[in-house]
Amino acid sequence: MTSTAARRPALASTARAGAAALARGWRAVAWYVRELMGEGAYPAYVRHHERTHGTDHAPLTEREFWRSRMAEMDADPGARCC
Amino acid sequence: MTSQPPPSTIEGRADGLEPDPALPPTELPAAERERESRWTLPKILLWSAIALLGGVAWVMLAIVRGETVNAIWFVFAAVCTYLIGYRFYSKVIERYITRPDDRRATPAEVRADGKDYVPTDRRVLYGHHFAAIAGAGPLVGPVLAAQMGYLPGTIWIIVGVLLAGAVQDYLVLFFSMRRGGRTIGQMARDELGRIGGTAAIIASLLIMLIIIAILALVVVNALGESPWGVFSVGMTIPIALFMGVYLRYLRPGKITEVSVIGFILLIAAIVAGGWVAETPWGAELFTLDRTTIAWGIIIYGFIAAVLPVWLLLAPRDYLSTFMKIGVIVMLAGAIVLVRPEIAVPAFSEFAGGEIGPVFSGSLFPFLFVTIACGALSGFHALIASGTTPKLVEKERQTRFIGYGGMLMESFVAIMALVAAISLDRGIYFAMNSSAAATGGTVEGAVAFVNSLGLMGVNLTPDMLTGTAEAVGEESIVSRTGGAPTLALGIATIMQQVFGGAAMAGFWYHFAIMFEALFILTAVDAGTRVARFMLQDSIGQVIPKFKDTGWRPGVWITTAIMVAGWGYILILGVTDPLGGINTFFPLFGIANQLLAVIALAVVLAIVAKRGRSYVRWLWIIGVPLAFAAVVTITASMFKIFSPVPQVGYWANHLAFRDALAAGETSFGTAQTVEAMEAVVRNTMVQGILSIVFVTLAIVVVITALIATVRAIRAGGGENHEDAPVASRRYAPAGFFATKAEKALERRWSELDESVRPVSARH
Repeated sequence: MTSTAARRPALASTARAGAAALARGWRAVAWYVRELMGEGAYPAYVRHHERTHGTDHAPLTEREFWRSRMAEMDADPGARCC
Repeated sequence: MTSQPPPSTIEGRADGLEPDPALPPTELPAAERERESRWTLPKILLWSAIALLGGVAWVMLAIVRGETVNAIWFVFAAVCTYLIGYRFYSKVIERYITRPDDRRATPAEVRADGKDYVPTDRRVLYGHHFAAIAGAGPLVGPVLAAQMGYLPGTIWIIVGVLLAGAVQDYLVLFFSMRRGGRTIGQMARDELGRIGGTAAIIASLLIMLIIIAILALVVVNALGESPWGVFSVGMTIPIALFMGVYLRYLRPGKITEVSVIGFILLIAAIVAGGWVAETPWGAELFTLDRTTIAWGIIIYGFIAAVLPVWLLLAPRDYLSTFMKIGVIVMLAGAIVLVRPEIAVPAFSEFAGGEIGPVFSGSLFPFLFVTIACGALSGFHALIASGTTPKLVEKERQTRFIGYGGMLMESFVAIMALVAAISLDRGIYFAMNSSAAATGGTVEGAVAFVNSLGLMGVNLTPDMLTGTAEAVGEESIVSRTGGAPTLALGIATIMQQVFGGAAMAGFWYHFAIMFEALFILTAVDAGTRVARFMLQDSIGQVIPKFKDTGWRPGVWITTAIMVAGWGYILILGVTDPLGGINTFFPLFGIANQLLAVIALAVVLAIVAKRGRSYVRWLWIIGVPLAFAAVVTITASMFKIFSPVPQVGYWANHLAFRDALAAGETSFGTAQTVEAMEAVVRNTMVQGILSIVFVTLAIVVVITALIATVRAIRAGGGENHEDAPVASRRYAPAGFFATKAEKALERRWSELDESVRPVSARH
């Protein structure tokens, strides 16, 4: 009796730890995929802007940022490999 | 520029990088590094086990060679050898050649602008770099090389990458990073002077054109007479347009989201392709001959290169990255799960000769030229000196990104080889022998393949028709170019994991789509890059052409570049001798010559760094010498060989003499027009061979002169950016060591106002 009672919270905590590990793993994969696809470019720009320009002028909005990025890519697309 | 004496060499660590006492160290102290690299018992056991497993795998492949060999040994041999090469050889290069200094800020830190120069997490940058270097090349080359049996290809892919390919990528990345991300062309001009630099730039422009043409030829061959393929690959255009509009107007920046949507649409397009190809109208509308498809790609290439990038290029790039990583992970998993038995001999009947049906020429040098990208790829020098060096966070990470990224590409090549050799050899040769040999019919293919006298091969018409039916194609005879063979191999492996025989058609077209996607992106981007180079060159004479916003200039230069590769593409498609088998060597030679140029530039750079580097120059000298000998010999064969199947000019003269003698058919050319086509094609191929090899020899000679001069003088001019003290820290490899983690923690505990910004959350 005592042993099962003792085991139950242990089991529950293992399950919780497992779920937390899974959630962490999922977040890591989601982070990696987003960064790999280049989605992190805008947040990175905003952080850079805050650090260097502070509140002098507002950063580009997300829409403006991606437009300027595409315009730059138009001017210099960079090679893709064979 | 200035009258100062040349700056001193780079023998020791740079001075004047006093760390800010308010910050934790910006590099792991040497003592800590030393302590962590000390050998402990568990480490010795681990590396012994890796070495042992790799050794056993090589023994299984090279010596035991029973009736069949299991594909898993290829995986073990490759992975264990890569690990050993990465752990030991790349560290030698780091220690004696690059000598990174984490106290120095990288261009990403010095010039941080939140856009082009952004310190990027090393693991993310590894993925970016890999996605940028990996394309159709490593998938196609090994498939063609399988003609000679599995062993020569396997050895070159695995050993070649350790000693040549990864060395080139790593060094170009590192030296470009030290120069603020200068391109290989600019570095060539800086280090080799005007002549060598100009030759390098012309060579890269021409090579780009030939590479686009031959990749396009691979797609044309995969889609010819295939309504399913034409429909599903054609659908990528509207899908990409939709994604472009979605990202521009509906939800800017939601790249992952739109890529998932695009991927689902892509799968739907593949499934729908199967239905459409079954209907009479679908079959009629989408069954196109190869010349029509080639013209379609030429027109597409022009339009795609003048449209704004957000509409077509960028969204297809996202799709292609998504597919690339996904499929490669999936294929690796499937090979490990299925573990196909390989019946192909280690050395085939063609390994000793020079007239194999897939590509002609002897094992040395043509095997090394054919495999191209998986072992050593000059094209990577363009990538490693483009975007990646502007994003590196710390100098020490270049080993993981440059050397490690190339190891992954080599692994892709090994998987492509396994997929190709898991097929029945009879089917392999029926697919990869040119229509000139098989007549393009099942009966012709059966007769031709059985007449080759291959051991254990007994091809029947049923095998060919049955396989074609299983993958939903009209015919699989003479589907040259490597892509269909690889697709069939992937389909055979994947259907054993997902879906069974009913899914074979889906997987086949999935693989075709996957390759076509990369190639079309490469065609589009390559045309744009070539156009910029041309605009820049014409701009020297007519300044208006330099203005990239001037539309007529854009159209004219794009048209010139498209005409350049389009001409070669049409020649390849209409070639009476088969196309791929005569043109692919040009692709391989061009790509390897670019590698020779890149290695020659790096050799000069390292020699100029000072006396203590001279002893280690062999690290670059060996792959440079090997690649130079291979490509120059291959070019010489192509130019001077008296065997018509090998030498372009021998073939040219044979056909010209036959025409002069009034003959109306010669060899595989049945008409006078076909004979004239051969005369013309062999001349173009012959001239291109001469131009390439001349340019490469010029670059190598100028590089050797620069190198010898630097060795005599004990060093040379240093073109690196002036060192700037770094104010950030990040670990070097994929996994952070204990000491690295501890140091990282100290940085993360800093006050928000002094902590460096990064692309990490």
